[in-house]
Amino acid sequence: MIATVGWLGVLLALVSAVAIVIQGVRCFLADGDASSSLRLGVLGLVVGAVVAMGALEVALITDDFSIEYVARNHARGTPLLFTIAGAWAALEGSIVLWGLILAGYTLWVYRRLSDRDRVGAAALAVIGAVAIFFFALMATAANPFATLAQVPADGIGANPLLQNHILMAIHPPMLYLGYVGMTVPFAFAIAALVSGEGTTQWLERTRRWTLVAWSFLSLGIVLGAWWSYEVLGWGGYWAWDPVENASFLPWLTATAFIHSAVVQRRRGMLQAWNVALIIGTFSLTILGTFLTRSGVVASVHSFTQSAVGPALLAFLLLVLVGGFGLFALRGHLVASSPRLDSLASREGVFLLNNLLLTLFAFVVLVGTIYPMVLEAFTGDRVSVGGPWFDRSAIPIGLVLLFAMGIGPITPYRVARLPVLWRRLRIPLQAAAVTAAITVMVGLRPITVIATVALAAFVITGIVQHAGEVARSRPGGFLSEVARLPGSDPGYWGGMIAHVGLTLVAVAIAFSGSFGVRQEITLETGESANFEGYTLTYLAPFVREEPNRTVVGATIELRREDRVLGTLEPRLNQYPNQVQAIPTPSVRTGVREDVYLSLVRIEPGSATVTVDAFRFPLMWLLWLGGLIVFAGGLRSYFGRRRTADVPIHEAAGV
Amino acid sequence: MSERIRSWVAVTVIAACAGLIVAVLATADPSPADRVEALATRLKCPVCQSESINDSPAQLSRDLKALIADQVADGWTDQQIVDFFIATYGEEVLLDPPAGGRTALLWVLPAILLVGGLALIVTRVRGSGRELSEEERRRVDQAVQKASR
Repeated sequence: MIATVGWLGVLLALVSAVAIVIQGVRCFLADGDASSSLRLGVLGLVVGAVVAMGALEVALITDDFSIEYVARNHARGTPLLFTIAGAWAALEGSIVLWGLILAGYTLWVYRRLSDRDRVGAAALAVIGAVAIFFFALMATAANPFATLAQVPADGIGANPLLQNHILMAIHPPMLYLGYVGMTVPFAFAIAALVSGEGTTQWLERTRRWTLVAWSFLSLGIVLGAWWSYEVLGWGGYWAWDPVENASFLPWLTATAFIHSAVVQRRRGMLQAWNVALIIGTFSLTILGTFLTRSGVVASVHSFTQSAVGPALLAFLLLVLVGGFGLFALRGHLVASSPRLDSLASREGVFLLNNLLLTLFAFVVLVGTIYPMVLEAFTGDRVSVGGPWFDRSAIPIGLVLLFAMGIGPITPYRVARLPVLWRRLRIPLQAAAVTAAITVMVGLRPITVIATVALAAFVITGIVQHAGEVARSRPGGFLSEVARLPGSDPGYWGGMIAHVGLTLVAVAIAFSGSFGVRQEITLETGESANFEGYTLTYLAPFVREEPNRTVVGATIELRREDRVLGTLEPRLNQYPNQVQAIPTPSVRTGVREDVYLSLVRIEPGSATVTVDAFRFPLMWLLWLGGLIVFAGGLRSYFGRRRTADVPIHEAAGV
Repeated sequence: MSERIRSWVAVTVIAACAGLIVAVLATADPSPADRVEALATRLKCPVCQSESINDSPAQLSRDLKALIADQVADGWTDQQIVDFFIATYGEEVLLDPPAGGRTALLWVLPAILLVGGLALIVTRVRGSGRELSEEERRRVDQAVQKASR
C-alpha cells in the first residue's frame, strides 16, 4: 500500500519534470510569462518528491518489511533517529533525498523568477531535465519501493557505521544540499549559452545560487570530517579517500567561480571562463555521485553495488558532452575581451587564486581516478594516497593562504608598490612576529611555522581593513564595525569565510604535525602515562541495546592530580556484521583532544588494549568550518544597499 | 608617527624576526626523523581501501608496523624495506607512486596544467600593453604629421 503511494509520488514527479522542461522551453521560445504556465509542473514536482520521501519514511518508521529497501536497511531494533536517517543510508533512498532537494531548489528558483524571464525559464527547463534523470532512476534501476514476495519478520539493518552517530542524520542532507544545489548555477549557465546572454544580471544570479550550494557543501564536508573523526576510530578526519575527494572537487571549482565572478562583475573579464567553471563544477558533482553510488570505488562510503552505475556514467557523459559542446559552439557569445592591465592588481591575485584552485582540483581529480582508469584499461593496480596528495596540497594551500592575505587589500587595475607596502606592512609584521614566537616556543616543522605566520597575516589584514573602514564612517567605532558585514555582504561575507578557512588551515597543520598515537594495554586498576596524562583502567562494561551489544571500558583520565573525567571507548557488535564497530571516546580540550579507541577487550580477562591519540587544536577545525558556512550565507543573504558607495574603495583602500 | 618612521619600524621588526627565526632554526639540533613512522605512512595497509599502515587500526597493519620497526632496527635502508613490501604485496602497496613508469602521467599532467595556466595568464597581461609594430608606428606618425600640418 505505502509502496504504491511512494511509487505514484515518483511517477507524479517524473511527469511533472517532463512538463517543466516542455513549459520552460515554450516560455523561453515564446518570450512569454514564465510564472503561470510553469506553476503546475513545479507544484507537481514538489508534491511528488515529498510524497515519495514521506512514503519511504512512513515505511521505515512502521517497520514495513514488505518493501525491499526497508528490509535491507532497517531493523525493528533501530532507534528512531537512525530509522529516519535510514532513508539515506543506502543507494535508492539517497536518490530519493536527491530528488526531494532538487524539487526544493526548483521551487526556490521558480519563486524568484521575474516577469518575462526568458533566461530563468530556460534554466528551469534544464533543472527539469536533470530531475527527469533522477526520478527516472527511481522509477527503474534504483527503485526504493520494490516489494518482496516473502515478507521477512525483521530487517537486516543499515550498515553499522551509518547508525553509530547523530551526525549521520545531518551530514548527508547538508552535503546533498550543496551537491544538488550546484544544479541551479549549471542550469543558469546552460541558459546563458543557449540565449547568448551572459549579462551582469545573469552573473549576479548565478553567483548567489553558487553561494548557497557552496555554503552547504562546505558545511557538509566539515561535518563529514567530523563524523569520520568521531566514528571511524582511526583518529583521522581526512584520508584522501576517493569519496571524500568527490565532495572536495566541486567545492574547489565552485570556490574558484565565486572569486572569478567578482572579476567579471568589477572588470568585465573572464565571462567564458566562469561559464566553463560552472559546467565543470556540476560535472564534478555527477562524477562524485557516480564514484560514491556505483561501487566503482570500494570505500567506506560506497556501500552498494548496483545497475545505477552505468546510468550515472551515461548521464555524466551527457553532461560533459552536452555542456562543454554547447560551450564550444556558443561560448563566444558570452565571452569577454578586456585584458589585464597588470599582474600586480586585485584581478591578478584573483587569477592566481583561480589557477591554484583549478590546479588543486585537477591534481585531486587525476589522483582519484588514475588508479581506476589504469586498472580498467591495463588491469594494473596502483595506489595513490595521502603522501602523494599532500605533496601538492600543502604548497598549493600555503600559496592560497598567502593570496588570501594580499588579495582583499590589493587595488583593482594596477597596484603600485608604495600603496601595497603601506597596506601590507602591519600584516607582514604580524606574520613575522608570530613566526618568531612559534619558533621560540619550539614548534618545528616548517609547514606549521608557515601556516601559523600566514594565518596571522590573513587575519591581521582583515582586522586592519575593517578598522580603517569603520573609522572612516560617521558612527561610533564599535557600532560601525558591527554594521560592516551588512554594508557590503559580498565582500565581508567573504572575509568571514577567509577567517574560517585560516582556522581550518591551522588546525590541519597542527593535527597533522603533532598528532600522537600510542597503543596501550592495561589491566583493571592499572595506570599508564600518555603524553603527560595518566590513564587508569577502571572497569569493563557490557550493555545490551535493542539493535546492538556494546562492550566498553571505563578509563579515567588525569593530568597531574586533577581528574579530567572518564572516557568510555566501546566496541559495538551488530547482529548483521561479524566485525565489531568501534566507537572512540574523545575528550575535547582547548589545547588538545585526547582520543581513545578500543582495540581489544577480552570478555574473560582483565586486560584492555586501546589506541590513545592526542590531537592539538581540533576544535579549531570544526569552528572554522562553521565560520566558513556563516560567511557564505552572509554573502548570500545580505543584500548590498544600493545607495552605498562600496565603502572599502571609497575609503581609498 | 610619520609614514617614514612606520616603514622603518616595519622593516626593522620584520628583519629582526627573520634573523631570529634563521638563528634559532640553524642552531637547533635536527630532531631525529622517525623512520618507522615515515615509512609506515608511505605504505598502504594491504587490507584497507586508502589508509596507510601508520593510520590503519587493522591488526595486520599493527604487525606490519612492528615488522618495519624490526627492519629499521636491523639496519635495513628505506629502499630495502620499500622493495621488500613491493615484493610481498605488489606495487599497489605504494601510496606515493613513483614519478616514472605506469604512474608517470600522475606527475606530468598537473605540471602541464600549471605551466599552461601560467602561460595563459602572462599572455593575457602582455596583450594590453604590447609595443606597437613598425607598421603601426609609421601610420601613427603619418596621422600626427597630417594633423599638425
